[in-house]
Amino acid sequence: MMQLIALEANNRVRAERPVVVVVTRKKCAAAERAVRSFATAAAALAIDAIAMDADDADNAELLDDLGITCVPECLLFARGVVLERCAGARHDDDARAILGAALRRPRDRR
Amino acid sequence: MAAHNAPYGAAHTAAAPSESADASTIPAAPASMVGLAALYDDPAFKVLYARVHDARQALPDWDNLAHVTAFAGAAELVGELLIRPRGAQERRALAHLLWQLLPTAMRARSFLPLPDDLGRRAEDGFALVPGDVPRVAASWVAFLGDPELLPKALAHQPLVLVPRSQAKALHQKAPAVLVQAERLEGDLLHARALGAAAEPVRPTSLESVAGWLLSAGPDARGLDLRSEDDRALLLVWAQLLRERHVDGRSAFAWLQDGNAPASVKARVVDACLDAAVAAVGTFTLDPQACRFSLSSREGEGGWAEQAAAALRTVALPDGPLVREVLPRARQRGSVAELVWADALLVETGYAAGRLSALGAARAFARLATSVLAPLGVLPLSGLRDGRGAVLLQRFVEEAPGEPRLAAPRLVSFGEAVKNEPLADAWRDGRGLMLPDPKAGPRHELAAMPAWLALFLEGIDDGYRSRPPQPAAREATP
Repeated sequence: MMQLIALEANNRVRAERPVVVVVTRKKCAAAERAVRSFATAAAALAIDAIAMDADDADNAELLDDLGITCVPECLLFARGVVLERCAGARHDDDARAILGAALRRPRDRR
Repeated sequence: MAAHNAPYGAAHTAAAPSESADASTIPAAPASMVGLAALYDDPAFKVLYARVHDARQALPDWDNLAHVTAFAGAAELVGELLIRPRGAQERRALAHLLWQLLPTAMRARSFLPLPDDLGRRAEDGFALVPGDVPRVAASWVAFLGDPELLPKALAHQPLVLVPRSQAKALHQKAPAVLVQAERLEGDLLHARALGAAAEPVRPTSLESVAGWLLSAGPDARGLDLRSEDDRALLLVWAQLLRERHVDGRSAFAWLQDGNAPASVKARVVDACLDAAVAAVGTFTLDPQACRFSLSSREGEGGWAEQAAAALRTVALPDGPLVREVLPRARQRGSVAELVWADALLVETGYAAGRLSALGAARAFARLATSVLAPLGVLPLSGLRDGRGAVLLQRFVEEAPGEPRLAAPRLVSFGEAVKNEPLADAWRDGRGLMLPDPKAGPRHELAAMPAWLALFLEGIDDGYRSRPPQPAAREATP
C-alpha cells in the first residue's frame, strides 16, 4: 500500500473514485494487519487504498482535523466526503463488509 | 423502550425470558416470526441472563475491575452460545447483555436490541406492510410550499448562518458565522454578530442566506427502501412514533390527521425528531466508541493490567474476543485499547446493530432527509471533519401562515448521542467544518409535498410487489 503524506492524501481523497486511507504506525502489528485487510478489501471492491503515518509531523494537522484517536484507523473517502471510518477490522471479510456497506454495494450474503 | 425488549428489558428484573411479553405492537404487522425464541430457550442463555442480572445487582458502580471481570466471565458464556451459528438479531441480543456489564462510564450511550416485534421481522427482510409507516397528511407539509416562507421566517429575527466573509469569524475552521437576523431590506438581510459586542455584520443577500439554510451536504440522500437496513430504520422510527404522545395521542396518529391544529404541530415534529435520534442512537453500537480504554496511575494497584489480561484470555469460536488498537497520541499510563463489539456484531449495518459514529450519522441523515425534511427539519450532512455530525435547520409552523426558523442544532453519535444547539457545539470546537453549500444539493422546499407523496407511494409500490404472506407460524414450543 502506498504511503502518502497529508498534502498528497488531501488531493487523492477529493477524487471521484473512492479511496481508503489507513492511518498506520511503524512496527505496529495491529496497523500491519489493518493495512493487509483493507488493501485486500479495496482491491476486491476496485477502489484505491493508501496509508498515512500517524507519527509523521507533516500529517499531524490533517489527522487532528479528522479527529484521529487510534492507530490503526481507516477512513473511506469519495469526493472529499468521509463515507466511513473504523478502528481497523477483524479480518479481510470484515474490512470488505465495512467498505461495501459504506459504498452501498450489495454484499455477498444478499 | 424497555417494554418492547421484554426479555431483557427486563434485564432489571429477575424474571426469566418469556415469549408471552412479545405481543406485536404493530397492528398491521404479521406476528409470524419465531424471532429470538430459540436463543431465549437455550439453557446457556438462561444462565448468561441470570449471571448478567445478578452481576448488575451486585457490582458497585466505582469498581471498574469487577465490571471488566464480570464482562469477561459473561463473554466466556457467550462463546458457548456462539458455537451454534447465530443470526444478526441473536448476536445483537448477546452484545446487549455484555454491554450492560461495561464499567459505568462506558455505558454513556444506550444499546438495545430491536424491539421484539420488529426483531422478528428480520427473517422477512423487514418488509414493509400497510400500517407500518404513517401516511403523513398533506397539511403537515403544505406550509413549506409558501413562496414567501423564507422572508416570513426571517422576519422573526432567527439565528442564521452567513458566509464567514460577512463577519469576523470566531472560529478559524468554520466557513460560516452564526448571526442574529434583524431585518430584511429588499434582497439584503441585516444582522448582528452574537456575543457581548453584537456588532452589525455586512448585509447578506437572501440567496446567500438561503444557500446555507437549504444546503443538504455533498453526499445527501434519503432512505433507500431497497435496503434491508433502511427499511429496519424506518420501521423502528415509526415504532417510536407510536410511543411518543402529544396531548394524549401518539405522534404517529397526529401525523395522519389532516386537521391537526397548528398548536400541536411543533410538538409533534419535536417528537418525530426525538424518535429519529433515538432510532439510530439507541439501537446501534459503535465498536470504536465502546472499546475498553484501560489506563492506570501509580497507586491504583494495577487494576488496568489485570483487566486487560482478563479480557485477552477470552476466546470465542471464531477468534479472540478483543483486538488491540493503539492510542494515536502516546498517553502516559495507557495500558490497552481493546475493541470487543465487532467480535459479536460481525455484520455491519443498522439491522445488525453495528454502525460507526459516522455510519450512524449517515443513517440519521438519510432518515431525516426522507421523513423529517418534509416536516420542515432540514439536515445538512457531510461535514469535512468526518466525525459524522449532522446540522439541522428547522422551519416551524406555530400558527397558520406564520413560519418561524428555529436555532440550528447539531446531532452527533459517538460515545454519547448529542442533539444540541449549534452555538453550544461551536463553543466546544465541534461541528465547525461545514461543507460549502455550493458543492452540494439543496433542499427544495416547494417540492417537499411532491417528494413526500413520492416517498409514500414508493412504500405502497413495495407492498404491491410483495408475494402473498405465508400464514402465521406457531412459535417454537
